[in-house]
Amino acid sequence: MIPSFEALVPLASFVDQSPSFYGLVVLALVVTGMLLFKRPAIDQQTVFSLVPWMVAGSALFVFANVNGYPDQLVPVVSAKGAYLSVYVLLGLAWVAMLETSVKPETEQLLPDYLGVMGLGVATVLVAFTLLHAGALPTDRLIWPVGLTVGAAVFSSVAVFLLGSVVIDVLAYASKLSVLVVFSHTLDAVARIAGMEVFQSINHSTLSWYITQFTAMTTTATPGSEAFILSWSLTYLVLKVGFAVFAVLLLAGYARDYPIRSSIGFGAVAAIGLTSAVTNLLLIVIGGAL
Amino acid sequence: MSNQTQTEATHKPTPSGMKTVFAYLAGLMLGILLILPTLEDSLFSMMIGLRLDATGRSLLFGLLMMFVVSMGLFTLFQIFIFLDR
Repeated sequence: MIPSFEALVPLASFVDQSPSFYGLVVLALVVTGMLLFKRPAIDQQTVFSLVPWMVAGSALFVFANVNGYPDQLVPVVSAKGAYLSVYVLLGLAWVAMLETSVKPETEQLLPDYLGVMGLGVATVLVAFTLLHAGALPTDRLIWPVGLTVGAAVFSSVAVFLLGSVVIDVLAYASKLSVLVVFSHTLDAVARIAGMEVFQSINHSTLSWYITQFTAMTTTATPGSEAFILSWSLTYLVLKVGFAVFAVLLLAGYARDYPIRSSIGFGAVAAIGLTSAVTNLLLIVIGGAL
Repeated sequence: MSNQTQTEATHKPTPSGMKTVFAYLAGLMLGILLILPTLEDSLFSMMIGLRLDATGRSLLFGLLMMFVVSMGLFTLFQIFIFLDR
């Protein structure tokens, strides 16, 4: 029997896309080339400036799933396309700002302006996503706020404790460490709440494997309180563990290689934060992807 | 790191209020650009005189959208340049 294309190519779902998606990938590569050519200054502040753009990417992903885009545009606004589209806009805006700024002081402030611009993009996308949902029950608004505050407090305490053991964490990358732990903690708790409280979120690959593992290793019936507690705790510990591992790894480089370390922190934070924002928006609008 | 270098590293100019507002406006425009295609049907249903098929409508809409947004962004960045000098 001839193996299927998907079996031969592990990333088949990624390569099996429409021409418009390929066009977007090419555009993203061109933008990356332009950014590499312009060599913008990247520091820890830059990573924080990119946070609104991460939120915008997730909001576009959710918005595209609940609104009707023309068929030709669907591949560039849903799934990976949403994040790539926002990345292209971010890159173009960044290059345009680098081109237009003349004074050295302005160049120092570009990350601030870039962050504010990202905030504008995120405002429109989040607002229209919420508008689409219509009437919003109070508990659907209280939960995301509570989860965000809880994750922020937890990550601050966790990084403080971590920094008391590994000095590099607090000395060179305290804020970025909090951001990384916060994003993955929020992602985990938002997914657990979305699945078990609101039934409005589906499994991620990791959470699906954990539930399968829990079903095999415990006697608890799937759906029972003990089962939910068991898989939720395992998932949370794994996600936080991954974030802490990444922080320990990257903080060691923060002093000698600040740019590479900042890019690494940004990438790890983006993985958690984009997923977390998607989950929170799905809780609020009560939609499932 | 010497004290002087530390002072230089921590000194950062304050962002301009006007530029911040323009950056936010540019962001709002980009956001609107992203949601604009979902309004395609409702916009074109208002244009009764145009007899175009779906592909023609999408092409025309795309061109219009690119024109409007690029002109808007061009104007905003011109203001940005003006404020910089």
